[in-house]
Amino acid sequence: MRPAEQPRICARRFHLLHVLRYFRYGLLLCLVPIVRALLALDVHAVFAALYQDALILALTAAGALALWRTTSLSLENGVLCASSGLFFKTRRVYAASSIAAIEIARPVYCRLFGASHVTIHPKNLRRGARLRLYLSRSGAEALADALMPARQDTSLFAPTGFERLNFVVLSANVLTGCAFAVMAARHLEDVFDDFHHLAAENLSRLTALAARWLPAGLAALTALGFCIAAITVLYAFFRTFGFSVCRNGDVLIARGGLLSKTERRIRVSCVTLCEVRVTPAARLLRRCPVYVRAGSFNGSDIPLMLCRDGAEDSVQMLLPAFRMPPMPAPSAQRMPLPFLWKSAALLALFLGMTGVAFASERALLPVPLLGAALAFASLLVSLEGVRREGFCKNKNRSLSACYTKRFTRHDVCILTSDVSYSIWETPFGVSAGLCHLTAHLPCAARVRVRAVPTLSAMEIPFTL
Amino acid sequence: MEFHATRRGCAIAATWLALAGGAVILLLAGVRPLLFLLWLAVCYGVAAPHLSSCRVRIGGNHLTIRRGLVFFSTKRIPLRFVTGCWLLRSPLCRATNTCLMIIFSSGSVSLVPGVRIADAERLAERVSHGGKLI
Repeated sequence: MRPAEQPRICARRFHLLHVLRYFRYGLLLCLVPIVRALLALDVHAVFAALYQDALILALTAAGALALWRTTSLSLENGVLCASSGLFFKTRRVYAASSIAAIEIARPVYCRLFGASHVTIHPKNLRRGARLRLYLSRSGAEALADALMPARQDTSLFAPTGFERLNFVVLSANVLTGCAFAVMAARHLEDVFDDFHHLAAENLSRLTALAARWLPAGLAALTALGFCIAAITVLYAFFRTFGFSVCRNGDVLIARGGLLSKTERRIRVSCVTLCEVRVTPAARLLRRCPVYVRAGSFNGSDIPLMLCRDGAEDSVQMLLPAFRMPPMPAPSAQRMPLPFLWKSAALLALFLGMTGVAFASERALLPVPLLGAALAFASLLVSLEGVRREGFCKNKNRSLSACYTKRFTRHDVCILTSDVSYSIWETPFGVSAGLCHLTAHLPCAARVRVRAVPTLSAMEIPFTL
Repeated sequence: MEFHATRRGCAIAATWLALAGGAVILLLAGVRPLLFLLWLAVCYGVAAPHLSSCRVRIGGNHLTIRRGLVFFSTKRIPLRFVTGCWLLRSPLCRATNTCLMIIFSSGSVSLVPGVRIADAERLAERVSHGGKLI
């Protein structure tokens, strides 16, 4: 019987869009003097800047094209090789079996030129070692099929209707949404000169509307919070449009996106961590987002699926080895102090500030009250952590853990045996037989569980 | 197999800490003898004893590093996932026959200063053969 032939991709260049990496710096340099001359309405200066910039642009374009001609990507005998560089040559070699995930993104500018932005995530290298390049659309598909072959299968998760709305809300990430808003604002400022003035005017109208029912300070915070929430939900809507997840053999495929179409292929055998996050929004909607981490691939921006509260076993449709952490047995020796001291201290601080504001300046009362409310919510989550934080070694050699952080409870299943442990004992913990356990996963991922029995932590068996 | 960090080796590590901290104090606060003396007391009175309490033990399939006098930390690394072991020897380390041992695994990096060079070389030999002594 002939051995199965390994997939092969002949050496090919990256897409021409790849030169943007080298070209954009020269482009920025050229635009600045032209814009200055235009703003000063100096025609002679504009022409002089144009002649100079034409030369700079030509040299930069020539250099970028020369660098582009040296780029090469090939897959032969199970080895992926990417090389580039004119004077300083770089050659990056990966074993095809060591690639944990491939991400293919097609934003609007890529779709216009028939390109795809490809990110390759290795299994055991740090996050900075991932490979990012531009390929043609067909080249990216061929590469993905060669590294992680999969056919379109029945979707295991494809939210529609109200479930779609839940998915959008739970996918909203304040940090990425705000970053998107800042970038959009900068681009809009180039088009609309008085964009900031327009935005401030509309925000003040919203604040005035909220001030009808709320105190002045709280109205401004509410208006700002509403704007941020609207931007993040809008951004999540665009990112998760038409989202679906399917599994084909050893590969998970997640597709979605409206303006930027994204496809992620994740090798199931390389998944290190599967996490169910119980956020405040998840508690309200009774749906929990599920995130997956594979090697240097950190899928914290978009959840892989939603699971109903109490039906977390549905994650086993995608990852059969997933096990939820059981409720740990209540320990008479469990100390609440490691869980409560931060949120309790913050609550005490904000209550003190509330008292001072009540006595002296009542107009400022809403701000410390809001802080106290948030600290109280954090305290409630910490109280849940007193009851639920812990770890459990499962029969299928995975490790389940539960920990709380700020307002979120994380139910984690570690699916890799490449785990090292740190155990930290305080003097009070030594007397109580408790310690803090940190599991160190590949690519600097960490899971930290507080106040676990020291004997249990010391005897976690290593799988062979 | 079990060994521990030596006091002389850890004193060298404390010296490096003291010099680094002194440079930072000089840059940020200028010449501050009292502050520098306080930092020296921390380095030699706290950091050096803490580092010299380090014990390294190689079990059947894992490596355990334990240190601490008041606050204890224990690190357990599976032997088969140790990806590298560096032994760094400065001139002072060579004079005291010690070294700084850095153990890499895919999830963490562990520093063990002040280890005898013979012990460190035995550990490096052990981990480079996947836990099997040849």
